[in-house]
Amino acid sequence: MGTLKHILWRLLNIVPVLFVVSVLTFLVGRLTPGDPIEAQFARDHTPEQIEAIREAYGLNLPVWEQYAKWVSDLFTAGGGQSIVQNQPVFDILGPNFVNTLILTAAGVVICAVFGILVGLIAGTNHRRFLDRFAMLFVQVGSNLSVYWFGLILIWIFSLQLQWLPTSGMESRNGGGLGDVLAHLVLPGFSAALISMLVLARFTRLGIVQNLQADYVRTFRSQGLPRWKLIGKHIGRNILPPVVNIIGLEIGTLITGVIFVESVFNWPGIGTQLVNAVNGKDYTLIQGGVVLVALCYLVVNLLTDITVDALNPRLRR
Amino acid sequence: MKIGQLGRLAALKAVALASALLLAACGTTAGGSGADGASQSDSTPRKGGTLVVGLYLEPLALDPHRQGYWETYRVSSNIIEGLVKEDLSDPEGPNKLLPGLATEWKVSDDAKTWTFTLRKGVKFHDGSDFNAQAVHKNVRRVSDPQYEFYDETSVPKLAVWFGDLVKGEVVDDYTYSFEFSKPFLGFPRILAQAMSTLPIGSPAAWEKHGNDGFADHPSGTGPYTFVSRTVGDRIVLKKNPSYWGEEPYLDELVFRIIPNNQTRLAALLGGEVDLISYVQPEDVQTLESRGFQVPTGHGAAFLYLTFNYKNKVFDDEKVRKAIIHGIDRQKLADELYNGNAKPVYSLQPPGNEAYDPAARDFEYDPEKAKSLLKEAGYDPGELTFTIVADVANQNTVEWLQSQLKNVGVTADIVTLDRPNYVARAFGTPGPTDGLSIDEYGGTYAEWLHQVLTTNIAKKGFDLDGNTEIKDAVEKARDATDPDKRIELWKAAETKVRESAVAIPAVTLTKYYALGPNVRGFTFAATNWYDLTKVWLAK
Repeated sequence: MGTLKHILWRLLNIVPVLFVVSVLTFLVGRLTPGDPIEAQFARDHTPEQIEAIREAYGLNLPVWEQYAKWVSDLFTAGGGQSIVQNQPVFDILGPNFVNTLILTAAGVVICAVFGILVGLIAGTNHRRFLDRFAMLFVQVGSNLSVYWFGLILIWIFSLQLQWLPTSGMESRNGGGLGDVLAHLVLPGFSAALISMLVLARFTRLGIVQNLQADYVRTFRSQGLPRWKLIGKHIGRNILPPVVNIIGLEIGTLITGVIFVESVFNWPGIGTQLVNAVNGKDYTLIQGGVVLVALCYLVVNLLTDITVDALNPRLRR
Repeated sequence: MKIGQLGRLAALKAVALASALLLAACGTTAGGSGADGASQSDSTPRKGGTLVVGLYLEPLALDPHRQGYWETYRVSSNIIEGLVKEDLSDPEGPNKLLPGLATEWKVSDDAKTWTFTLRKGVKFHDGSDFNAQAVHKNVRRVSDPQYEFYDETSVPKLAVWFGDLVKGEVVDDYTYSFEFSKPFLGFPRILAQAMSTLPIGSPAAWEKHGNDGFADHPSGTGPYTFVSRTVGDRIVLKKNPSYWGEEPYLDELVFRIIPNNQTRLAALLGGEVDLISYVQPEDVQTLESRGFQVPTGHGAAFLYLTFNYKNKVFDDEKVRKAIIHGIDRQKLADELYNGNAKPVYSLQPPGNEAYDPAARDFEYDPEKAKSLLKEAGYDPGELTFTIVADVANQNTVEWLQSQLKNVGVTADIVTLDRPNYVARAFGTPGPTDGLSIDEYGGTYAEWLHQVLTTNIAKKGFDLDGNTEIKDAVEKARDATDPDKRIELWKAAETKVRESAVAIPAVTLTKYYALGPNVRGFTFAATNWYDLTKVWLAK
């Protein structure tokens, strides 16, 4: 009962955060210079026609009224009409958003598997060659630009070795889960890179610290095999921070995916949002940002619930 | 949140550029297949297959009357056709006119009424009949406020050519006439263009789906029918089995949207697409060394600078002339564009039917520029204004700034993203704004009228107040003798040129790139291409 109440409370907390996010995105859109209607129509419309269009979009109303209208559109009118594409925002973002989630999910899996693996290898070989080597890799990797890294991956694996496709989500002859997975590898790795390295560091640190802890010394003196020690006891102990980090990194991943999408031409909302920014499509930008923020909050909530569930002290 | 990311994006782009160079450098050494080996040996066209095209931007609505961007028309022209076509197998131009949905056309003696004989037995993709009534509904959609499907979005776009339309009339089932309030000899060629004109869509489609819904269910008479569109990803078309014209070779066309230049290049190199547009000049060598074809052309488009006439400084013709004298366009083409451009000295660009290769405005002469400025009352350093440009033209305007400095003109630079640039240059310029830079053009002589009314006049030029220019343009527009039309437009262009109304700059060399097995592609003297002649070798 306690957990349920806790979850409900956390769900309620999302509302004020979303409110702040929506106000901020709305204001940032309005405060940047330039007029989307003039930008769209100045070429072949007269000032009077432009004024009429502005009225049709409600852009002549006081700012707070515009905001209220937009918020109600979020619930009832699919996020409002896109200024450039003239369709409800969520109709445009919907299919792309699913693609972004697929890429993010792939990133999370790669991040978790390889991050923990690298951390584990480095941690258990503390101060030995493998550790130094892994940490060099982590140091260099953390300073790479995702954009550049993506292009290098394309060059090596698609153009030189020709193992993997360069871009998009499906091959020209299309279809099949295997095909999509092949298309996911490179963008998934690029998206996961930074988070993966962060996770590797934390995992390594956790293992190193635990290896020096008293309980480990006790177990060791009792002759517990090393694999069992690491797998069962240290593993348990570092799981909550690892889950926490993964949760936080999912947020980073969702935003990072936007660049990765551009390099690999992944048909997700990143591409859409970059287009929208270029076209000053207020409603589309706002809708997209709110969607991303919502994801972030939901992931955070799920992480917290998982961490709580992993902690026996919080279980009844 | 978005703002910070954009800053990062710009920084990352710089890094990407560096790596792109690396990519290009590595590409040249690797890559086996020879350019001259297999290429054109098999010359019998083969039917079938899918052509995948990599577009550099998301096309706008696939709607005959709402066209915008050439990239849109490169897709939509496969679905929706006009009454008249241009022969796109001619790389030189001006392109010959060919019958499209009209088999022939004639003009009245006063050149105000055009009568088109329509092709019989043609059906739209949705099954409805193409006939004079269908043409009439297209005309009403863009001109008749009484029509239920009158489209306010299209009307301003078409106003430049259809503003003078008095009436469109169904003469009989397969004859349709347009009556204008003024003579309009150039009308058929205008009908063969991409934007601001009247390709024929299926009225049944907008009656069913509405004016906004048409673009999601585009229906025309073209060689390919619409299958699907995923915004941000792809548009798929398939061969129209009952096409009235010559059967195209390809079964399917897929247009993938790949805005990132390096990714688009990689997709072509990796064999995932067959044709890409907006190829960067620095990538040409990589492509050719790997056996890819890189057709080049100029596409009847050019870069030109326009004065902000709302800034009274430019009322003085001497100032305008001085600025033109101060810019070395040959050097601009050779140095800044590394020879990937040709200087242009007239507002009718190469490829236009009224292009005059001998036309010259004001040759590069810094001394003359200085003395003209002196006459106009400006000592060196006194004349100051702002050049406003799209960020894409950053290098060009910086180069211009240094040129102008040589003749004692101080130019500040403001570069903006595309939408903000349009809003400022065409909408509300700043008080000190002086020059802005645009790229456009056309194959038709009436282009001069278009650039004057939709660009230069938007920037405050008082056409009515410049009677000599106005009269010359009116005279060309009023021409009723087809043999004199081109001459009259040339004369009008001369008047415009002599008054230094705008500054033609350069026409950029444009590149497409094709996979090694693509055949039958021509870089026509315009800004789009004909895919019906394209086929894929084994």
